[in-house]
Amino acid sequence: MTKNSHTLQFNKETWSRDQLPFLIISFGPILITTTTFSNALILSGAFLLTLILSTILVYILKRLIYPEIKSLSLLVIISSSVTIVELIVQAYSFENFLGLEAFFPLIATNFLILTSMETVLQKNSSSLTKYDVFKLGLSGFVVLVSLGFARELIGTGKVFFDTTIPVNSSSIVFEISLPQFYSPLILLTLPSGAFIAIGLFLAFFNSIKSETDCT
Amino acid sequence: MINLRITLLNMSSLLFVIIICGTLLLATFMNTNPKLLKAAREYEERKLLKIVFPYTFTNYILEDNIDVPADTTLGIKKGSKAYLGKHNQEIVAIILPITVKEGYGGEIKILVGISSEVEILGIKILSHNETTGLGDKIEPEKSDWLLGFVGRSLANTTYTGWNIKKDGGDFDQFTGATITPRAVITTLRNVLTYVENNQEVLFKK
Repeated sequence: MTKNSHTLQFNKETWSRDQLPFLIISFGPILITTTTFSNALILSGAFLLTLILSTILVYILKRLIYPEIKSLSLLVIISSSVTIVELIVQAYSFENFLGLEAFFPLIATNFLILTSMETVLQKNSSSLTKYDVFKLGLSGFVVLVSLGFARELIGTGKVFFDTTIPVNSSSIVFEISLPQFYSPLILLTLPSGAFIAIGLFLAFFNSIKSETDCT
Repeated sequence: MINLRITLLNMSSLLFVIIICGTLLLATFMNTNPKLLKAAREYEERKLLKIVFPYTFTNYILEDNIDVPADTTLGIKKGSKAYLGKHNQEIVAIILPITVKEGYGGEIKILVGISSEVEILGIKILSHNETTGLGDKIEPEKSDWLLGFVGRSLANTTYTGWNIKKDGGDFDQFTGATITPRAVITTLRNVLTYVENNQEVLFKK
């Protein structure tokens, strides 16, 4: 494949410097839906699945993607893998899907998915490796799920999770409740609560980081 | 010439990408669609089952319906369907879609679950235009008023009992709104009379 000077290159330095703003912006649509644990789990799970599926597709179709039509091909691949994931979630978890319909197509706008495709297409030593991209995707997944958990627990006083495993159709149900005297902080379940919560998360991680930096 | 070749090459490669993605999409769709339809049907059914909660049924309620005799005061048109809940081939409950005509803001569409002993099992409000804060207390999310009808029948509540307390009946009115409850109560009484008159058709007795 010929090298194309027009392509965006994400190199390691850009990411390590401006990683967090990138991540927060690209995770915006998913961030909105982290009001409950199950919503967060489903949507960020779908995101991770899309990331993996589209990367595999690009890897297989690498020889067919010419630089001139790269963006078109990537568009087709991303949107079809988002739709495939959407169909699967719809079939196996219909009730949970109902509130999230509008947010699935927005997974296609995620920065990380496009970046991972670039890493497959480019054999440039300075760019991110596939391993880095999946690490970022996975850490995003973990943060979003724990965000959903924290928001539901603090915002409503309990966490309720109910789903059926598609393989053997047994169901997992768990409920965690805070003691009766706890009065829920409703602010956290509202949209602005997502930003407050992620701000607190970042502060927490930064404080850990700066402590380890000092020592 | 070179340009044309490159363009054709690009176009055909894009076409291949589209074909492969489309095939994958179609394969997923074919595999998941039956599951999706089943899940959607079960979801609809579970919503209906909430109306007739205490009973368990052995049939698919959504697929088991009959034409019911028309009744203009209840808004039951010719060809209206009632859903049947069966337990071992015996009809134990029906769900009737009816319309309360004299609501304050117009028609109120409701579903009523009635047992074979002509008792009200549950009510679901489908749509209404009642005043926010006054008449909309008929919604189960806003107040428990609708629960007061569960278990009521013509046998355990007298004719005058089917009224709001202000008119000497058994049921609460809302502060500032008497028209809505009055209309709902009267319609429910009429539904029970209707079911009792048509028991042979509805429960195949």
